[in-house]
Amino acid sequence: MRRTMMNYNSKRDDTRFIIDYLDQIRAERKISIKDFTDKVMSVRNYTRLLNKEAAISFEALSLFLEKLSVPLFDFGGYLRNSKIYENLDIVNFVNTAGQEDYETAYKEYYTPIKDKLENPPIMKKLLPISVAMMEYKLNMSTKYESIDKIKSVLQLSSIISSKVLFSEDLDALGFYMLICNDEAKTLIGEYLYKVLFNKKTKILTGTVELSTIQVHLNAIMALTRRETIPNRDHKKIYRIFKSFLEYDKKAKMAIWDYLVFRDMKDYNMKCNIKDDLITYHYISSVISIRDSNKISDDIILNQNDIDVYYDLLKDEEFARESMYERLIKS
Amino acid sequence: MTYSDYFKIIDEIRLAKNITVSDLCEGIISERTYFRHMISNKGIKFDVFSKLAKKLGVTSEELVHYSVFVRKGDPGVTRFMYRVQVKHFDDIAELYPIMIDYKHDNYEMNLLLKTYVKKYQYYINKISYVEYKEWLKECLNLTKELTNEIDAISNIRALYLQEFSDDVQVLDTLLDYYVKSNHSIGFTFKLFGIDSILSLMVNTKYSTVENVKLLSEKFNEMLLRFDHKYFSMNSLLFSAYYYKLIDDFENLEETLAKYYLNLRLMIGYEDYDLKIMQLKTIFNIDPVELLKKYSEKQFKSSKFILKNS
Repeated sequence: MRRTMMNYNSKRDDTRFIIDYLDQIRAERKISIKDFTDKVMSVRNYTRLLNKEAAISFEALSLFLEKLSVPLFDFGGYLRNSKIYENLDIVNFVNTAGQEDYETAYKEYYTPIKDKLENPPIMKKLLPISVAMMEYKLNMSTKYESIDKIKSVLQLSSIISSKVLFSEDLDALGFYMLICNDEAKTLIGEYLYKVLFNKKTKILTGTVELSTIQVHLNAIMALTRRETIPNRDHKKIYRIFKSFLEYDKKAKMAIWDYLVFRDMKDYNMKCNIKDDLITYHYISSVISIRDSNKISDDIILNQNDIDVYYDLLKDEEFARESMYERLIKS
Repeated sequence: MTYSDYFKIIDEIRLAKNITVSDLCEGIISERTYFRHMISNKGIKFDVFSKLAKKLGVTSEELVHYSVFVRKGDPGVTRFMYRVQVKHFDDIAELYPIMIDYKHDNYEMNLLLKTYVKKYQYYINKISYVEYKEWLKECLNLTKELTNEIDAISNIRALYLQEFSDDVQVLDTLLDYYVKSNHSIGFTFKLFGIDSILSLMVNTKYSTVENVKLLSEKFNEMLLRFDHKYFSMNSLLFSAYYYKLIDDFENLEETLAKYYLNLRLMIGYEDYDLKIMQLKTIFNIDPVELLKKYSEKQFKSSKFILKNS
């Protein structure tokens, strides 16, 4: 029987949940332990794994997954999803704060997560950052106190000098941009621009297409939401925007496309640019969103915007065109 | 991909984060063992790998994904299947030749990939509809002893049912499986499978109120975890159909208006024309008028603030 285990100090180990999840799949599929362990290890050794008296090897894990016909990347996804379901309170808090609905985040989700703040099982950066944002927005702390807390967790200089962009860092940058100054926004925007077009930085995430879209979104946000935008950044902003359109045309993923169009519309207003297509897409992306509760901010329009929207609704040729076709060509 | 390759990835990330080997290994393994794991496949413990990943601030799932899809040079298997599922071929030309020769390690995944290749070939008239259906029958026969719990298999059966909707036995067992299944595992293939089945059920004899309700709820629950614009659009159609079945006209109108607006954005030309015809046939509406009415209502709501120019 191959050696697949070692003895270890179970107090040091907090990854033993892996065997629990593996066994959960076995049980759900109604496979007996005897059949499951056949040609992999003895039942006794498997029981030792379940009792956390030993650790599973890569080889054993692969053999078990093969028996379950579960590819390794799928098992990884299962671990991630399981952790999310076990910590829905944290996920709900961070997501609600992420939608800038801090009042709801506080009233409905803050109390259950208070005990987890010291050592969150998931979202180790996002949770303290979203709490700091909530405290500032609800006047529980000053802006600078919150910025200090966020900076200590975020470690911006480490992120922007790294050749690997992690998905949690990407999310954390999104939060930070809601509170940081123009200088930080410029640093973030420049970094994300390089991630998109330099290709030397790899994105480490469970969903590459979704994260790539998020990079576009954050880059546009960083560069367009500054008080003062240098003229030299105009081309950059439009390059990112065009890249977003072309990418999402293929991926069809971005449910928060309204954020991109909102930032581009605001940017156009600052630069006195009139773009009916951006106005139309902004309005239609808000109206068409499946869950309107996801949009927490007010949508400010004038009558001209509404007229543009109705005019393009009537345009049959426009309706038949492929996704963003006219915008990409313009 | 060997186990030691996963350790090489750990090391790449360590370097990217400017962490020394000593700092990374402290409290987990010796530096000597660390370097040995990078060249030898023997005796590598998954918990050690997970602890090192955790210290680097990444989950083991992200590392596996990085190794499979990024570092290795993603062959694009899931991306290809997804493009065929949503019938969107802008960037598929680069993937298709790779998929024809690609051999997945996993037998069932290989069959699923081949099924999507055949489906694509049918769409582009490289094979006939008869040939595609023959493949589906052959595939069903090859896998008849395998359970729906193997996600690639349930996905294949969902694709089979789109062309052989009269196979009530396969439909019933698949419906039952999808409604009760844990979507934490095999998420993507479950999403594709449920999308296929619900699309089949809209306006056909296979849709009972109960089935549409349960499956739509499942689909929407999955989208809460991973909302995706195209599938979100489809969920609106499925929900609208459910509202039609239960005569809930208020929700029906709102849902249809949103669906139509999404359709205008995401689908073009002949496919758009087909979808509009489907919409008019099933729901007996003028989608443009419905959308105008819904938009007027929205502009008067508190979400929209009208300011002077």
